[in-house]
Amino acid sequence: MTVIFGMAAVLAFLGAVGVVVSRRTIYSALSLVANMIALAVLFLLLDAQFLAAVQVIVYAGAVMVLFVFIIALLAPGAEERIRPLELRVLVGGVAAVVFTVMVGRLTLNGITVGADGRFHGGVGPFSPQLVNAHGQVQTLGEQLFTTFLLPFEVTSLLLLVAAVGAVYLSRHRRTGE
Amino acid sequence: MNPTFTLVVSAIALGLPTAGFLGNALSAGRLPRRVVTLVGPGVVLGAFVATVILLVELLAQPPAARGITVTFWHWLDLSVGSSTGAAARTGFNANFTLRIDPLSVLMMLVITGIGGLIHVYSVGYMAGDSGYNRFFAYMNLFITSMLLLVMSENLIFLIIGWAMVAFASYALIAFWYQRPAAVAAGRKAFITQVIGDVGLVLGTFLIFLNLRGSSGRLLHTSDLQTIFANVGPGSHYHNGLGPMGGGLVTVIGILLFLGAAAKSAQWPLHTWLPDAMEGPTPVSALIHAATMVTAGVYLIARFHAIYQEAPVAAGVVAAVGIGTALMAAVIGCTQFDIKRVIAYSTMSQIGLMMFAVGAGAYAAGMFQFFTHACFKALLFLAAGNVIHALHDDQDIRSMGGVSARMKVTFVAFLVGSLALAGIPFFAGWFSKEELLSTGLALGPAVPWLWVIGVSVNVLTSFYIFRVVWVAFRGEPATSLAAAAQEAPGVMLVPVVVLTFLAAVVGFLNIDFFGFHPVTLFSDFLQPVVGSPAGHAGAGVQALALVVGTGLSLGGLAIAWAVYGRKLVSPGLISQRLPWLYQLSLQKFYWDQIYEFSLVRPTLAVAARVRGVLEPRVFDGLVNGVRDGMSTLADDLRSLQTGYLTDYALIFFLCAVVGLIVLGLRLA
Amino acid sequence: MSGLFPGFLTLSAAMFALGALGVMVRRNPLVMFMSIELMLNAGNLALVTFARYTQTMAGQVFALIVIAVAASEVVVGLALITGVYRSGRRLDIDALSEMRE
Repeated sequence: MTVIFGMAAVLAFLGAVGVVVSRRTIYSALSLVANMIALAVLFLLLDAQFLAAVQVIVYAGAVMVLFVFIIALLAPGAEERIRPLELRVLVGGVAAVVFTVMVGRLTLNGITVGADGRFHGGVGPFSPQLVNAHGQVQTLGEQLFTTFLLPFEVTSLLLLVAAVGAVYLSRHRRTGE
Repeated sequence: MNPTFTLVVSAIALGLPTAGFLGNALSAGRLPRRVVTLVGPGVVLGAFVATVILLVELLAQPPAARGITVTFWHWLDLSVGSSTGAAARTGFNANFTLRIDPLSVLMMLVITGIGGLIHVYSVGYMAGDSGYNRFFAYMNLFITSMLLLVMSENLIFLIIGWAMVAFASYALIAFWYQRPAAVAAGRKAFITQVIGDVGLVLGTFLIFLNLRGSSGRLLHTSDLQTIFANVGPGSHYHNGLGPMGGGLVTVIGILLFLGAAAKSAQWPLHTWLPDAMEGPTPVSALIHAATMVTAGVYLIARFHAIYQEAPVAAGVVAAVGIGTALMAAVIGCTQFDIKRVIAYSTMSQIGLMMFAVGAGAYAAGMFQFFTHACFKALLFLAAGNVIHALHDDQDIRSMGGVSARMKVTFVAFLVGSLALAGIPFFAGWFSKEELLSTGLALGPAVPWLWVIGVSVNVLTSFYIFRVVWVAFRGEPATSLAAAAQEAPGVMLVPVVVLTFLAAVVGFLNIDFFGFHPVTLFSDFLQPVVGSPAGHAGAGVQALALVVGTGLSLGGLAIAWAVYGRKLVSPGLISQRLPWLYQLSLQKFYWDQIYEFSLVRPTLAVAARVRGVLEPRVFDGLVNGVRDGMSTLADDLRSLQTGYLTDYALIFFLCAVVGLIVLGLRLA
Repeated sequence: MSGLFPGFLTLSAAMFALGALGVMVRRNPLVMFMSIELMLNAGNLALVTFARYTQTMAGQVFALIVIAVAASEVVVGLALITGVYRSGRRLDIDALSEMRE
């Protein structure tokens, strides 16, 4: 378990670094894909099998493909120089490190996980065994259509709006802007 | 006494001049002259009628019941306690209350009566002046303020009236404001009076903080009747303010006298009065003869309860009074400006009044005030006639022989002089001899007070008859004097009225040296000020009367000899005793002393403040704040770069800071 | 596996920080967008971690919805970037900034 976690975590981290650091845009996109696949593995480790599948199919498979297409269309060979000694970069970098460290400290000290492997911050009924027995998809579906019905409906509205928006924004203008 | 009726009538008395002032002032000088001519004097004469009604009402009561307090308006009333009884309420109140009793009605009669006559006179005197409307506005304001001062029952409003009087006097002295001398004189008067105000206000504070009632509780009152009910011997805790003759009462007495001295032009706050002659003659007559300068005497008389408990303070009042009287009389002998002679005469006579009230003879002092108001106003107005005829020349050396052409004015001035000099049977004789008998009555150990008083009388006779001979008799010194015309009717009528008063008003009170057939005046005032202490022995008194009167006549004789018949050279003193002459001519050098010791240092400090403190410190502070804010704003503005990513950085930084804080709290 | 709980969260934090860094530092709008996606992914990881450890489904449901939202956001955003590209302007966020004077 730990080994798999370690490998997936390292891959995710390297992918994230790659997104930020890469000179070429296309390399950033591919690093992000790697990051997402690693994340899917991590989801599997967290007993969220359905979500891992969705991550790969939708996120890595559709969204990132769209990204790659657009990059290919717009700026295939685009390069960017990052000046590491710029004030903005330095301050941002330090802030990022501090952020990570602080959260790490918080997780280590502020949230306790007991010896029985359970989280001592309030625990619900959906243990992995129960979910697996009942079925991942069924459980998720039930929750989605009962407790979380309103967010579900609103999200569908949002998707509609996005689709309409995309069509509108990319229409050809007769007079050219 | 019917409170409602009294309230209405006193409202009319106080309100008419106020309405006159407001109407005139708010119309920005655009009222037609005829309206102002009718309204200006009219409101004052109306107030006089109201005052006479109050007097009649007062006289209709038995003497013990002559006194009522009417409340117009509960302005600021924090007092507690029952509303009956003077000593029952405690706590601060600044109610607009008036006191109608013999003392206040007496003052009101003089203010509105003689004030009214002077207003009528001013119609003629100021006829050619472009500031006609403004003049009457200020005069009405003055009458209002003075009435407020004397009618007020609450110390707060007394002080308000006191200060308003000071302003009105400033406005009137500096009436011809295009003349720098007038402005300087007005300023001097105002500043001196403000210095006195400090004394009055501090005295008020001390009374407020320390007066205790019969139960020993602090009263915290500024109400005059309550104060007077609780100060004095009797069944009160520590005599209200402390034991008789104690330090606190003495200090209060002296502080109050400081205020009185400023208003009444007594030493050391006397220097403003001669300079105030820069104002128009009616102003001098009203303010510097009849009313404002007597406000100090009124204050002492009103507060007699306190002075009876503080013999040291009363002694100071008397001593300063008699000293000023002598000093002013000496100065008056050498002055050449006719108005200044009369001004120093006022200073001297008020000194005598102060002496009287300081010595405990309140009725005598107020009687002297009453007679003095009549004959001093008369003298000023008559002098005003001459000045007007000579086109504003006030120097007696350019007059002469006026009596032939201005007969009525001459008679008026003569009667006034006789009254002032204390010649028998004229008004001044009765009041002055009553004063002097008080001086004698203070004890055989202090006959020198009587001696000083008599010396003052001699000098008074001398200086006023000097003016009579030099200005009115003899040959005209200038062509203007030769061509002098008698004054117009509107200016003569008040003068004639005052002449009559100066001749007869003395008969209201014949009480001196053991001889008192007529005591109308003192009886009238008795409910308020009480009766004086005893008199000296009969034989001594008769001798003193004869000697005193004889010496007054002697002064007249000297003046006649020097200036009338020219038997003695006028330059005798200036040649034989030049130091004495200079001392008198230079007004005992007090102006110069004050200039060097007070005025110059103050101006130097003011220059320092203006030159150094103001630009460097104050402006520097303000500008420094401005510059600092400006710099801070510029520095902060540099954060707004316009780059989206910079803003995103700042968001993130704040999130990190928040996390750090959270982490520190949980760790 | 309970001991890995802090590890998951720290990884999530690191990804989030890196995404934020990318938004702040990079000038190409496409890379900025991808950094935003990275941040969303980090959030998803944290959500699922907590869902697992509190044994509730809310975290997973929310993560699902986040994916949907991210998708729609990507669609609209890329349409905008395409529009910018087609109008001839440079794909540089500093050049595109209209907030400067």
